[in-house]
Amino acid sequence: MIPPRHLRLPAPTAWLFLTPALLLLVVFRLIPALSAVAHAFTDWDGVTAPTAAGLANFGQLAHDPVFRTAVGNNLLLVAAVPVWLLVSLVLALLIHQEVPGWRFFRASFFLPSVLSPVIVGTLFTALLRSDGPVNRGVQLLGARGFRVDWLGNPNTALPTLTLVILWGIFGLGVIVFLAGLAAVPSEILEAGRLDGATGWTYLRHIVVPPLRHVIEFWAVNLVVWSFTSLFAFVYVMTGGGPGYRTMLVEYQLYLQAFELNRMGYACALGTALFCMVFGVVLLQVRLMTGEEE
Amino acid sequence: MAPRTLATAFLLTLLAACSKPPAPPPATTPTPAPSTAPVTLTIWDWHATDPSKPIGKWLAGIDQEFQAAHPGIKLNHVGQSHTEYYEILKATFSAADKATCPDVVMLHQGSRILDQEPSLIALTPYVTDDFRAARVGWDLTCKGYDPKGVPLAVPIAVQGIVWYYNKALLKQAGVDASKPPQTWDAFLAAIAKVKKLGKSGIAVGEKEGFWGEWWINSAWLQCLSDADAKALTAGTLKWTDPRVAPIFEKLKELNDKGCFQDGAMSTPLFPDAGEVFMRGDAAFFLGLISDVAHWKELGEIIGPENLGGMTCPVFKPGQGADRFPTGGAFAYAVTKWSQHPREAFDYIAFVGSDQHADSFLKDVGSFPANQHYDAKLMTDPNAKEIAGWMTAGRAGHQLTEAMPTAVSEALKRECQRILSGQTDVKGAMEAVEKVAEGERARAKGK
Repeated sequence: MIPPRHLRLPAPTAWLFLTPALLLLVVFRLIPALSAVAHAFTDWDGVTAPTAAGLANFGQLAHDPVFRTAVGNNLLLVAAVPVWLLVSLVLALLIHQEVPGWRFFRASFFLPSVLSPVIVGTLFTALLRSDGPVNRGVQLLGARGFRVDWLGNPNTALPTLTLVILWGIFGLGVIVFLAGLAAVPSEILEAGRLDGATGWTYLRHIVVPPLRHVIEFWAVNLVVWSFTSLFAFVYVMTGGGPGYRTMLVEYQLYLQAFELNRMGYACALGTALFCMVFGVVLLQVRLMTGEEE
Repeated sequence: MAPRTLATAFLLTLLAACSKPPAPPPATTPTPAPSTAPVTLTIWDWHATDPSKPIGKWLAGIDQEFQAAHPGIKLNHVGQSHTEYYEILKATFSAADKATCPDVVMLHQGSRILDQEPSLIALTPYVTDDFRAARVGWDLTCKGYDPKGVPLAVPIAVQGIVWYYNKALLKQAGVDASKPPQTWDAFLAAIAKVKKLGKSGIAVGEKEGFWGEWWINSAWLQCLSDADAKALTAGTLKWTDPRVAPIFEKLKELNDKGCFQDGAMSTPLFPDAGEVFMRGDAAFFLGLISDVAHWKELGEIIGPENLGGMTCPVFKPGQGADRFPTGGAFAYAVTKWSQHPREAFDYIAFVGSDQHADSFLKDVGSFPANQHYDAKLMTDPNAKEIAGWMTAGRAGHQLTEAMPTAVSEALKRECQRILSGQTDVKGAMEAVEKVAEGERARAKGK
């Protein structure tokens, strides 16, 4: 929305305020990103001078089974985004309705969000050990022979990682939705209850419509995060294993760049990752705005 | 002030800040000669991280001695994480600002050194014939794996992979601990007896894949000749060749027969798997002969009298079947960004000197690359036995040490996939061969 003329700043003043942010953006985002795209077309070890490789890196990418596995794993994480959204939304709603102990829950839900992913990962790695407290707890409940290697079993490693990530970030979602709910006129929520809407109906027809833009914003954020910001969890908890079962594109990029000295290929991975995220977000925004129209 | 004036002033200030600073006035005094200027050497390794461990203590003591003997040199010894060491190194070497690059770096012998070749100086001007003759391991620190070739690093230690066993536990299980199981069948039978006690056969840490790599380095001697190993590295023997298969088949067999402790796939090798063995919860442990997880460290916990060492159980009796793999120990190199390569090499030579070879053996419990050590210092029965294997010519090399890092990485991942039931032996061999083929094509292209 364009502000009214009397509120608009003169161009030089606007540029004055914009310049520091633009400078930072150009120096620390745009130039490195463009440099990475340029290096994606080279064979480069990161130390010696790069040599032109044309589309060789992208050709290899198309036939790389590890890349395919990593993309598949990333998409499975994206598929979990609705669950991440729903958990945060329901919990936010309960706190907003001031259920008993809501102040405690509000603080405790947010706590994991202020912990570094390294700490969260280390904590859960210890809890989920084969002889760790989670398995012991289940055994105490009566399942004597129960022992699952949560992070070492190929069937449980990715779902377990997804749940840990959910635990690590759901609190932030709760806060975002609480802020959104605070802006919703209480009469709307109250009217919905008086009209007898409960459970899923209440959530879907009363709560979601006024929160639509907040949900969209948070959904886009989660999708971007699921592609680009889960490195620390994987690094600490599984190293992409067992085998490639929890390999994500960003972790493969790291291995190629820093473990295998293949910076050119890593840049190609980065470029592909950017295109994927951009494509998925574009599709997501189109779908959401399309629904709205 | 008008906004336009304010903006102009700001932009001018910004431009001034970004512009080149004025040149300093010409120096009125000559620059001091390099020999008299104070020198700071930055050394990176993964052992100095923990001075409570014998090797960390050993390095700290050497640093003190060196600085006392070289008052003009100050050492900045930085302990880096072992797990992320090469990633940190890579990031530093790739950085535009080389001022943060260390002078001296610790590296594993073998492909890790050759991978870093663009960042290292050739040590030819410093390595004399006598210096070279006193040490072993040059085949893993010189260009082209040629022991007489251009040295890129100085070997400090001799590493090897040994099967350690807990004598007390074997005895309790009814296995004759004085004669460790030498054959594959005897090995499996011993594990079966240990399992009846409620203990595990082998303590394994496969979270990072290192254990799988150690297994391959230990097992290849049972089914391949040295010529086969060279052919495998060169690509004239494929990873899909039936001669290679027993390495993966026996690994799968161990897994299928439940020889490992629970949770092996998510257990880190260091220190967790070693601790399983040291607690007496497993009878066997694939350990090292130097640095860490070795005869001294293990013996100090379970008692040297309860610790035994053996080579890999023999798959099929034959030539080389009773050998054990050596190589891959640490070495020191000088980076090409060092301003003081002479002093950097002097430091390396000091660490690997005759006197420190003795203390390395005595205090750290590791085998030094410098062969001028006092053999009388070796009193531990396991150390004596391992040294005896070496002098008897039973030392082979590690299969992965001359392989491209990408192939080693693929081997680790495929071992994990076999152990977690995601692939079979054939699938694993084909996957490794595909990576090896790609690496050969890359090398050819270069």
